[in-house]
Amino acid sequence: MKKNMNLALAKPIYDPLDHFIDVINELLEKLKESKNSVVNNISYCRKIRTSRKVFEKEIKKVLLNFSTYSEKQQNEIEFHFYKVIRELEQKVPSVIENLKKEEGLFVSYFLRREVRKALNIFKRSQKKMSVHLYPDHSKEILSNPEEYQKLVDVWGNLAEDEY
Amino acid sequence: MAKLYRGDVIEVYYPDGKGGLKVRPVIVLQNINKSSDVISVYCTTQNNGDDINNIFVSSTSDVGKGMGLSKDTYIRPAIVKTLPIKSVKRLIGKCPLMQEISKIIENNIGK
Repeated sequence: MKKNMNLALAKPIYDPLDHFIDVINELLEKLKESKNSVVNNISYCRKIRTSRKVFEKEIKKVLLNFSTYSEKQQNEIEFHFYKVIRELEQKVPSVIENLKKEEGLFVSYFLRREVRKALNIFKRSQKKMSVHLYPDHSKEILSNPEEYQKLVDVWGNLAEDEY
Repeated sequence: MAKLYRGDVIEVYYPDGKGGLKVRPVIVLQNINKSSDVISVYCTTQNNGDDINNIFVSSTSDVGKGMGLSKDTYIRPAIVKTLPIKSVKRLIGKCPLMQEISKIIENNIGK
């Protein structure tokens, strides 16, 4: 019993995306097999929407509890979201392009919409966490000549060196 | 501001020479607390031909991806900068090359 409890605690608290991606992949496979079945199309759309809503709910839970986590956990969660978004931004355009090939199917349109929605939910959530952990001081630096000069002094000639 | 740790790769604002700001990555050597300046190692895409004091990281390698680098980068541990905490934009990755960086820093002390 104790072992099970430990396992439950060790489960990542911030990875609802995995499940959503699994559902999408599973449905894509099924779609290839029986693309003309209207009944299946409707059933897939329902499954996708339910899955996205579960995903959305899980993300909201993470956001709601974010301030209650330790500082280290907050950093880990935000950084995890940041990395996932970087990966998704590379993957999602090709997923959407592939789905466009099945243009005639309603489920294709629906799936594209749901994938975009899921990505946007993820991005918005990450932004909220990011604002909390990394307040943006760029405007403050630009509007304060002293602050700006401090940066010029620190960087010296290296500021001319392009990254 | 989130606490930064040795080996964190962060994006920082630096002056663009026209009164604006640009962003570049640096590697954290030390950040005593959340409000103190960040001691960091300089990174650039420019090759100065100094193979002994530079560490090259390809952006497509596992190390480059783990560091969150968008371009092929030369780490120059011989150049250490103390940056105001306000110039930190965010954490973008973790650097697994801290031992190599420390060695180059030690070799350059007193030069």
